[in-house]
Amino acid sequence: MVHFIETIIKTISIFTGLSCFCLFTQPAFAKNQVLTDVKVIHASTGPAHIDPRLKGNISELKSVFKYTSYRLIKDQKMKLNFNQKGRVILPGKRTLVVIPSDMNGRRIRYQINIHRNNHPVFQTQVLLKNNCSITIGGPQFKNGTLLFNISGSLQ
Amino acid sequence: MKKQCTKYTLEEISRFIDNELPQDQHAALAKHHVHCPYCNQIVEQYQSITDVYKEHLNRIPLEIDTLKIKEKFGQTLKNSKKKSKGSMFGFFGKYIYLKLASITAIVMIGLYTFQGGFFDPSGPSAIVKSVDTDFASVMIIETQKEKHTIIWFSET
Amino acid sequence: MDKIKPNPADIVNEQDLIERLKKGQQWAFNILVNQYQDRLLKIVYGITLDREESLEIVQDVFISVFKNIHTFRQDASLATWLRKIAINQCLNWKRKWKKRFRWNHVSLESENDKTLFTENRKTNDPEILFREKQFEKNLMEAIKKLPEKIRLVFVLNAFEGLSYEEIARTLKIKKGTVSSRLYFARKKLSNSLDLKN
Repeated sequence: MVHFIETIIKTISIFTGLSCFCLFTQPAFAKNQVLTDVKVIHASTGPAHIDPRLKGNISELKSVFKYTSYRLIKDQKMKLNFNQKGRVILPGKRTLVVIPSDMNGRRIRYQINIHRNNHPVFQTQVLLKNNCSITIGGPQFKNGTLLFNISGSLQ
Repeated sequence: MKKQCTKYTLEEISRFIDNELPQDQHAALAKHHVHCPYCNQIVEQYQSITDVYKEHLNRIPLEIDTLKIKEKFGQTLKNSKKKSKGSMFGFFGKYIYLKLASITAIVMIGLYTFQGGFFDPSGPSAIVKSVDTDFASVMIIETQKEKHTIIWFSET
Repeated sequence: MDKIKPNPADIVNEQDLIERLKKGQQWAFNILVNQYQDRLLKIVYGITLDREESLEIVQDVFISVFKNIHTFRQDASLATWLRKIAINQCLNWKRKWKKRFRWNHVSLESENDKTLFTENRKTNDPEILFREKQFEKNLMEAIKKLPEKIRLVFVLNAFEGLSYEEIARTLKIKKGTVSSRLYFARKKLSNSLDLKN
């Protein structure tokens, strides 16, 4: 009986040890895909309106900006491999290009470019915390400002 | 005592009795001691010492009290069962490192499952490494509560 | 000196015994004690020359064997392993060796001697019998005076019939040391017996 219990404990320990090993090394073995979500938000000082799809992000934006209205114009989800370009067409002949390049620890390195009339007008490189987002803004658009909320999640 | 023989040493005779001499030497001594009174006496003396001693030991009436040994053994078994039970199910004792490793592994799996990752980096949601723009002003803001990063630029 | 060679049937039985001991079977323990107690007692008594201690030591040997049978790698016979444990146990009782030995006076007229002296004796001549007894008595006295290292080698050679190689392996000493210790024992004993004579 004691021997049987000892065997069970050994088996569980080996199993959990192996699981931990897999979990720790999972980034190395993963397919290296990043689920990138780009939300294009139109922020203005018009009549108060909060798009229900923005509930997760809005409190932080409201703490910084004096805008009263936040509308979600576009929500584009892309599964990108490292060094694969993700392109989002923006209003006003603009284009947003996001490229996850690699991992820096637990942060995803992104190159984010904004083009207007096919010319780069803004380029930045950021280290985005996994499952977090950054907000970049804002070009003027229709009596308001465009905000780009970019989130990344390692798959 | 007979006249001492100088052909073989006493140690060689001792080894001869135990068949530990090289084969040719053994044969030579075997042949020699039959005709040498001194060596013969030594061989007989050494052999009788062994024989008498062996006989003496064989005659000693020694026997273990099986009841006593069973009692002693039963006590030892009880003590070792207690020890192994205690060490099996107690925290300290047998397999302590295995137990620690299992607990650590379970805790880590739990953390990973419920918190979505091991050792999430602290700090802002995004660290800005570089900015390249023609715009006049650029601001990098970090919200107080969630440390959410905002890059704000003005086109004018 | 003849070496006792193991019988193939005995080896099979020994294997079975070891398996059963590893399973913790009480029955196997009884077999172990019955089969080996006599031999072990003689070896241990030969070393300690103390009856009570010998019984205690051999009891402890059997208990130790049963507890640690799982550590027996079977690279030697069970008898060899038991012997090694017994010798180690004797050496651990070293403290008791240092004290002056009690001379257990055995009357020349004791019952044991009587029964044993009627068998295997080529003569019933009282004078010869007396001389033989005296020789034995003097020999045992002289053996007690041997240093313990010497006596240990002497016992393994005289009683167990081990070769120098086997003794060297058991005690983890050189073969040359075995030879010189045995020679020393015989020389010492012979000198003591010659003086007494």
